[in-house]
Amino acid sequence: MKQHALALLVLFATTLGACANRTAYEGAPMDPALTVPGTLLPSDPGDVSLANTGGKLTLLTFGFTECPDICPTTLSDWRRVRRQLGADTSRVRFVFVSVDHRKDTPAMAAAFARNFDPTFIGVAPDSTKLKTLLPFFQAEAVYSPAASGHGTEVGHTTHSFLIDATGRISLVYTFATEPAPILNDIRKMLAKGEGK
Amino acid sequence: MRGMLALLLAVLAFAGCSSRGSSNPSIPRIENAWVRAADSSATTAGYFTLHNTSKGPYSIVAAAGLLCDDIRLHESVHDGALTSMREITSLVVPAGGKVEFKPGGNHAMLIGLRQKLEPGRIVRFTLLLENGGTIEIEAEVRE
Repeated sequence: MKQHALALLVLFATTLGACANRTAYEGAPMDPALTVPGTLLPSDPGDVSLANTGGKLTLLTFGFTECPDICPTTLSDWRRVRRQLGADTSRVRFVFVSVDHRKDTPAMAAAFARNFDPTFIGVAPDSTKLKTLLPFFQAEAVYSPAASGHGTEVGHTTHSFLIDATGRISLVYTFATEPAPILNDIRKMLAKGEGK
Repeated sequence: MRGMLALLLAVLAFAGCSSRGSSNPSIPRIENAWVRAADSSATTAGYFTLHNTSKGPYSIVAAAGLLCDDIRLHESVHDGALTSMREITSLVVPAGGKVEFKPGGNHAMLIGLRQKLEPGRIVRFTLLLENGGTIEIEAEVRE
């Protein structure tokens, strides 16, 4: 009998906990949560404005098109998020920002992103625009000569960032975060009236 | 050097001397070998788990294959949020142990694909061992 009471208590506490968490986001809050700058980012076919969200949420990450491991892993995870969004897909932008301003063209960045999903957007800002953009995300990109002696290797911040419909960089997810927490947060944000 | 290795592999393949598994006395077991789908001329990664069931360690020193211009063994190194790649020049697979190549860690970087890799296709490349042996990897292309 005592055991049953204990089990009930545990169940009750768990349910309460779940209710309390329902409104909390699973991504880490950005601190400070800055609003993205109004810079136009070159893409293909046209420029993309992060600030002019069109009422949509934006999931954003940094990378480069020759990235063999990290960037394709992130964009593949995003594709799973995108597919599970169903009808809400049109309320979210997925933006891949190339930090390899010496090699990647807007067309290359756009093609790289589209290769994972036709709705994904790839942008390739020049070095000046990158210098403006990166600090808003507390992100960095470092360039070092390749060990092979050919070209440059690019190191970069691997987080994904969720920008709300007002352009505020709200939440951050570390590399290899499962699609579920990102999907849940997007749905919560959309349910709150964010994103058209 | 890499060009010569690729040439050697091509010659071996044409001569019908290439065999699955290894030219080592103990055949390494390979699990979960896959390559991420990518466009022609793009760069992608190959992943696999190597098991060493023998009594001695072996070391991987390079990779080669005909599916792309070059293959390099890399490790993604995480320093806080910043990730960079480091080239692997020698990687020991301990006796009775295993080494994993997986997203966010060790990977075979396939540079300049000669064809578009569609999911479901099987591709092959070869790991070269310090002792002169080889391990042929047969990998499924996945999304």
